Amino acid sequence: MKISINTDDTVRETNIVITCEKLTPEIEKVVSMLRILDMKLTGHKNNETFILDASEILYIDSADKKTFLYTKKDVYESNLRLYELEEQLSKVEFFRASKSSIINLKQIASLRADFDGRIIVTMTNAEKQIVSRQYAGYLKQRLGVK
Amino acid sequence: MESRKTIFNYFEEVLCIFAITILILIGIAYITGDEVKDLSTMFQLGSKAIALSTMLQFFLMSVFITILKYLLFSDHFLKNSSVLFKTVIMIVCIVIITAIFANVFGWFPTNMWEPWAAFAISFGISFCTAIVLMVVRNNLENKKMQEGLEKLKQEMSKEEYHE
Repeated sequence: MKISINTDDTVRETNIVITCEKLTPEIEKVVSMLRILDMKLTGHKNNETFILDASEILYIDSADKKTFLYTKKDVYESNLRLYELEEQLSKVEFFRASKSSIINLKQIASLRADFDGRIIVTMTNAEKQIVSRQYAGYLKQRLGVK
Repeated sequence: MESRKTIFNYFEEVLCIFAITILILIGIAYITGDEVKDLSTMFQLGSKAIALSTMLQFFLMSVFITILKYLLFSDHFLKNSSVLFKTVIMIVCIVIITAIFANVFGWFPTNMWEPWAAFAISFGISFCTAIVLMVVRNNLENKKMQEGLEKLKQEMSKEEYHE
């Protein structure tokens, strides 16, 4: 693989061009990683690729080594692993809620503490998500409660 | 981001349970210590003091209750059970542990119904008080969390607007 970087003072917007024989899963992954920098996520559904705004995502979870992005109406599959998404998205409004999920803080409608130390979160689409005890402390800290 | 419990967190809980049980014991000893000192080893010194051996027994019990609590309410054990089910299991286990301790250390004559009734009443009062305190604390925490969420969302929107 050959990597070329050209710097030019006059360029206002960075332009990344990938030249390849065919689109492989590895290249798709690179593209997805690049899109996250722009707060865009690549989601796949019914053999189609969608570019989603990170703020549209309610939560992300992983099951059977697959990662899923949940919006208000749809579910998309991502070619990135949960930890890769977490690395980038935790810089903005997302936080780790359990070993298998990341939640968008801005898409939380309400939350309440459970008696066993977990936090039950109701998303803007009325779906409920659980913040495990392991990560509840961080959320409380972020909300200024702890 | 991930908060991990250290040995000190567990020790803190053990000491908390220990302190509460000893305070209750002091209260009972002060009121009825002299009358029951021949019946129970817990009040062998009457209303004057609590024996060191009794304190150690209660410390051991506090350790068992803390272990039980972490086993039942961890994310690994009885993962899909409801809080109510776990609480019932916890109460049953506490009664069993108490019966064992009562037999082994002679806390009270286990063949008499009166000590059991006294145990049930004091356990019931402590349990109900703990539940009420927990509900009040949870409600306050929920209110604070909701306010924190609204505040955080507003701050995020402001940041986005400035960008």
